[in-house]
Amino acid sequence: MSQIILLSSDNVEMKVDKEVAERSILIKNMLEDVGETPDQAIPIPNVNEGVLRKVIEWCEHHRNDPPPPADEDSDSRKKSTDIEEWDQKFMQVDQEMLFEIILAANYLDIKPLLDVGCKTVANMIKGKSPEEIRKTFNIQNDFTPEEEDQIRRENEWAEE
Amino acid sequence: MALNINQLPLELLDMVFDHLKLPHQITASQVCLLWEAIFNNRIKVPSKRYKRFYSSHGAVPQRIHRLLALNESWFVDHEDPATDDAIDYILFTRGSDKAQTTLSFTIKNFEIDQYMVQIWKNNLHGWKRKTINITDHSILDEPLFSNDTIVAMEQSEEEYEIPEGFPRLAYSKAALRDYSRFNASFISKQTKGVISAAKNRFCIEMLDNPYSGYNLQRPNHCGCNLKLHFGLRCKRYLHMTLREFLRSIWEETKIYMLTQIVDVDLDSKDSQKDIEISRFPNIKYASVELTYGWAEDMVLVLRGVRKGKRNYDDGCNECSRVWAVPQSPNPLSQFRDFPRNVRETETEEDDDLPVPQH
Repeated sequence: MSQIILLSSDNVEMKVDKEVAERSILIKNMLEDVGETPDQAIPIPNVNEGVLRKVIEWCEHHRNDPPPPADEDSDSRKKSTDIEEWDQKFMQVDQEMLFEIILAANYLDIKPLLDVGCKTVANMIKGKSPEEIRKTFNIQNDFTPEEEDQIRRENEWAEE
Repeated sequence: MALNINQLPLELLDMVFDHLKLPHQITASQVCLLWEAIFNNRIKVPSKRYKRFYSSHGAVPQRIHRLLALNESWFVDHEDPATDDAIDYILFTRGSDKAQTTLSFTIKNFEIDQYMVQIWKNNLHGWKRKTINITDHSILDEPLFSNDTIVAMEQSEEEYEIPEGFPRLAYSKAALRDYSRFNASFISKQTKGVISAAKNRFCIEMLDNPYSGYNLQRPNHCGCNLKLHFGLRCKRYLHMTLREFLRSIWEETKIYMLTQIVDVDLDSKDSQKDIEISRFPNIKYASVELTYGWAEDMVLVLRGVRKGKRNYDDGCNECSRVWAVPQSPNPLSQFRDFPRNVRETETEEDDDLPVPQH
C-alpha cells in the first residue's frame, strides 16, 4: 500500500497510508492534482505534530467508513449529538486540543471529524446554565449587569 | 496562549450551535455577547407571500392577537419517542381553566416549520378544538411572522448609498446588542421574535421593504426627510394606547431610541390625526406597540414631508425626491392605497373587505 509523508507545522514528518490521508478532502484533492504519489513531504502548515497525530489516529480508525452523505446538511447529521463510543474516548482531551482538532478538521476538510468535534462541544454546553458554560469554557461575561438583567427577563418565558 | 472556544472562527461556533436544540441555544445565547450575536444571526430568509387573516367578526385575528399579548405562557420541548425524531413543539397558551387559545410551533431541522393556532370553541355539542395553520398569514398588513435578520439587513444595506455625513452603521458591541434587541421585536421565525411577541409588540419595517419602496438612507441634500408623520387609522376599538418606537442612527456606534406614548381615544376625531414625531435625520424603523386592543384594522403610515411644512404630496417641493407610497404586501388589503386617501378618511369603508381566497 502506498504511503505519503505529511509535514506538520513544526516540521515533523509523518508517514501515513495514502488511503488514510485521503480521509482529508484537502489532501485527497491535492494528491489528485499532483497525479502521482509524491516523494516529498506534503506540508500541513496549520497543524502541529500533536494535533496531526491525533487527526491521523482518527483517520486510521475510520479508514473504512463510508464517505459522508453528499448532502452535508443532512438532518440526521445535525439533529443528533450522539457520538460513537470510540469517538467519545478519542475526544477526551483537554479543551485546547479539542479546539485544535476542530480547527484541523476544518482546515483539512474532514467533515465527520469536524462533526464529532462540534458535537463534543455541544454536549459540553447542553444542560448547563450560562454561568456554568462560562466556567466550563473560561469565557468572560461581557454583558453589563443591566444587559444581563434584561436578557434574564427576556428569557424568563423559556425557563419555566 | 491556550486556545479559547471564542477564538474559533465564527462559522465553527455556528456549527456547534447547529447541534444544540433550541432551548439550549437560547441558554447559550446568554453566555456572552458573541454567542448572543451568533444566536441572533441563525436565520434563513425565505421570501413568502402572505394571506391576510379574515373572518366575519374578526374573531380569529382577535384571539391570535390576544394570544400574542402573553401574560401566561410556557415552553414545552419534547422528542417524539416513537420515531426518535427531534420534532419539537413550543406551546404558548392563554386561558385559565381550559386552554382557550394555543399557539404552537413545529420545528424541523432546528428551524421553525409551521405555526398553528388551536382555538377551543364551545357550541351546542360541547367544546371543540379548531386548529388553524397560520404560517403564511398576516394579521396586520405585514406578515404575522417575519424572517428579518441582522444578516439580511446588513446585506441589504450594501445596496444603498449612505447619505453624506452619515457613516455606515458599525456593529459595535453596544450597537449590536441594541440592534439585536430591536430585531427581536419582530414576530419572527426566530426565537427572539417569539420572545418579543410576548411583549406584545408588532414592528413594521419601513426601510428595505420591497413593497413600500422606502429607503430613508438615500442621499437627501435638501433634508426633506427631516420630519416624518405617522398617521394612524383604526376602528372598532374602544380605546388603544400606542407607543411609537423610533430608531435613529446618528453616529457610528450610537443608536438612539425615542419613545413616545400617545393615548388615542378612538371615539374622538383626534384619533384620525397624524401623530407628529420630532426630527430624525435617518430613521430606519418604526414599530407600533399595542397595549390594549387588537390590530386587525390598523395601519401605520410613514410619510416624508418637507421641513416645517405639512405636505401630503408624494414628492418634495425642493428636490426631485419622490416618496414612494407605502403599499401593502397584501394585494387584497383595504389599506393598499390608504396613504393617498389619508385626508378624506372614512372609517366605514372597510366594511366591504374583500375575502381572500385561502
